[in-house]
Amino acid sequence: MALWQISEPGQSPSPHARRLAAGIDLGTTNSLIATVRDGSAEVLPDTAGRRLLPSVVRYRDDGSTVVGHEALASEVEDPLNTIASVKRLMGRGRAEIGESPYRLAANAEGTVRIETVAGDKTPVEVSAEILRNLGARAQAALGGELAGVVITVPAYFDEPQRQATKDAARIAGLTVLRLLNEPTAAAVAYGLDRNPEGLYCVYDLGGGTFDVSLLRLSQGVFEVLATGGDALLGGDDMDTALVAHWERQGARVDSPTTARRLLRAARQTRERLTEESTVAVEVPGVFSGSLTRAELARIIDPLIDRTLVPCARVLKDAGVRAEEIRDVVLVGGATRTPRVRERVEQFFGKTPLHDIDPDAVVAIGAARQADLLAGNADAADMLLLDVIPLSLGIEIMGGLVEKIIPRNATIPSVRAQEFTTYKDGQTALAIHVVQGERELVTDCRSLARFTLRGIPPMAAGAARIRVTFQVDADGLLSVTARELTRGVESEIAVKPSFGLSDADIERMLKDSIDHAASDLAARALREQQVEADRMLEAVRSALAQDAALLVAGEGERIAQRIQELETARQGRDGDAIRAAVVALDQASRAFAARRMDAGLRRAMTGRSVTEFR
Amino acid sequence: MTQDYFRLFGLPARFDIDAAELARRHRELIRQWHPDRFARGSDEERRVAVATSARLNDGLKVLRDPLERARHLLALNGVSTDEETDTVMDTAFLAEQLAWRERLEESGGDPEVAAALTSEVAACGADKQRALASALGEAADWAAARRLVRELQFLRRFERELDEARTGVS
Repeated sequence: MALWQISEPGQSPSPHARRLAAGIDLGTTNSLIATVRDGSAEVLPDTAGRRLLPSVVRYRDDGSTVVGHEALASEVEDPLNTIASVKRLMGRGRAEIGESPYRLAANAEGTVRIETVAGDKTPVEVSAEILRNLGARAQAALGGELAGVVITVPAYFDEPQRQATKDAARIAGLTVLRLLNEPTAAAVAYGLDRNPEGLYCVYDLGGGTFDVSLLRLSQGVFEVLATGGDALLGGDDMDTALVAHWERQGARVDSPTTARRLLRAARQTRERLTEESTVAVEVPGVFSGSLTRAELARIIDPLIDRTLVPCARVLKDAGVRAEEIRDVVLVGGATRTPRVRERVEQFFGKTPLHDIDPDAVVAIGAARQADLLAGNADAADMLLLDVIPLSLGIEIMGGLVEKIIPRNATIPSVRAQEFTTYKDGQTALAIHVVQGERELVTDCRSLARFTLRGIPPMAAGAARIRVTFQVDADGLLSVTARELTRGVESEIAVKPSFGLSDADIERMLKDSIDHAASDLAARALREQQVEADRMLEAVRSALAQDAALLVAGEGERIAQRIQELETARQGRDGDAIRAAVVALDQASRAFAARRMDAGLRRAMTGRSVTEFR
Repeated sequence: MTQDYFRLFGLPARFDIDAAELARRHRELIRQWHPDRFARGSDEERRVAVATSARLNDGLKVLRDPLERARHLLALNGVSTDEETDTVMDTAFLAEQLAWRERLEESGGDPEVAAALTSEVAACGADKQRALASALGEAADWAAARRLVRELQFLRRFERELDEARTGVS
């Protein structure tokens, strides 16, 4: 008789069990999910064996959604409810988007909503559908729940775009271990397999975005030196340019359906010209003709030119000459186009590498990083240091921008700047946070506005207000402000200029669960259990390593909280678990800080000890 | 209070710095403190890791750059360079600046003129940096160091403009 091994859902795994982790390339045109199995990274196919999931979501009038190939197939028949290339709308205000094939609406703050038969959808919700689909694919393939995922974003994504991506994962019920820049992920995929030290350039031309990054690989540290790109330029634009060329030759676009058919023909033509030198183009009833590779080159050259401007800038930012680069790596489906390879080769003076499938390379790199962050690989092996792609600053007098953290600063990063009041008795200061390279506020992206209140009344110029920007490893910003002369720290709430509030996300989370017909309470409980396990494991391992750092009575207090959390963890009350997690965090906070300090001091001993006061 | 970045890296607080040693210590510390090392750590550990690694990265940036390093040393000694609020500069220095800028403007941004100016400005900057090293060293002349930092900042801004004129890349 076989014995069933019964495992409670949510029970923490044994210390040596592998945690399931995956890397997701959430692309404009296609998305992929990959994982590391038996030491090698592989893309996970769907049940039909297809690796690419078209990043297309169709909303139907019965409230159901269709994702991927099936949605793509309905693009022509139902263009307004079939949402493609939603990545281009992520974290964007209505005014920034311009023309769109969909019916777009926006609320007072400018947050974009797409009108569909199933109601208004934000780009974050559409992306969440794609992520949920990939997550389900991985869980089915791996036979268990994912402990966490690494999601890639274009290096050029600004703060709101990164935040929107993270929000989408949250709505999809995925734990994000890290947002990783796509070129960095590609470099991981290449670098780990070969491992020569030196400078690398990653040229990533995807469906909707272009990224270029310059990285240095040295002693297991991948350090991004500079990054640049264009968040609104990709292979899709080549298709649009091709359609415009056909229109000049007489093709008439009279409906969204015709537009979709022509765009599809453009993509197919472009792909076929990779292998063939001339192809016939036939869109029944709309256009008939042919196209040569040379004609295509002429049409897309202006777009390729636009990619070479950021390439030059990145080299300049890093103070590097093209000939110092060891290898150029090509990423993104659009780099299959022979003309793109030719121009990149001319620019860098060397044949670019493309041995890893350009569609899969980013997901593979992300999977390796996810495996490492989940604790499956030896963490000392490799470290990725990313940079912030665009400068962060605040508005000063005259509508000008004062940069606080410059572009290409290694993240995490922190920078403080002091400001003062300009009126006698001024008790509040309005702070407007922006991102961008231009000098005028109106030319930069507005990230947030907040008001620092409770400044003690003083003469103009006497108050000293320190504004601190901190950017985490995902490129997400937090801002704090403090008045220094009286030591008043005022509470500030950063309200996103647009984007989603926590309440919005909660609501979407709830909506998505209702549609998935799963149980909201069970899901919330599960989240709290995962959090409790992480906290218990972290505190226990800290106690095991550094018990000597406990002060009198502290060990007992922490032990008490651990026991309380364990008790709560056995129950079914998510709020009680959350409260016990918070209590344990508070009880162990001073100990954790002491451990980190001790670690920092230990790291600085050695030959520097006499110099260190 | 200003965070002492020399202390953070366990380096002596002086202008002359061993750049290779700074890079080595940064690498060693960031390996240990990067939030990726605490992906499964407690909330507090993760907060501290972000804050610590952010300071390490900013510290490297500050100490690696001579101008920022000098400003940092002055701040640690209670001297602010007040570059935003105090715009009074030495007259002779301003006259020289003006003459350079006129030459560039009159040439209509000619790359050759820009190249000639670049080497002049670089030589002037090198002199000032040597003077700065001595003011921040044994001389401990904070007033002179403050003036030199402000002047070097002017030169740096002009060098950037020259660079754009020369290469056409901004």
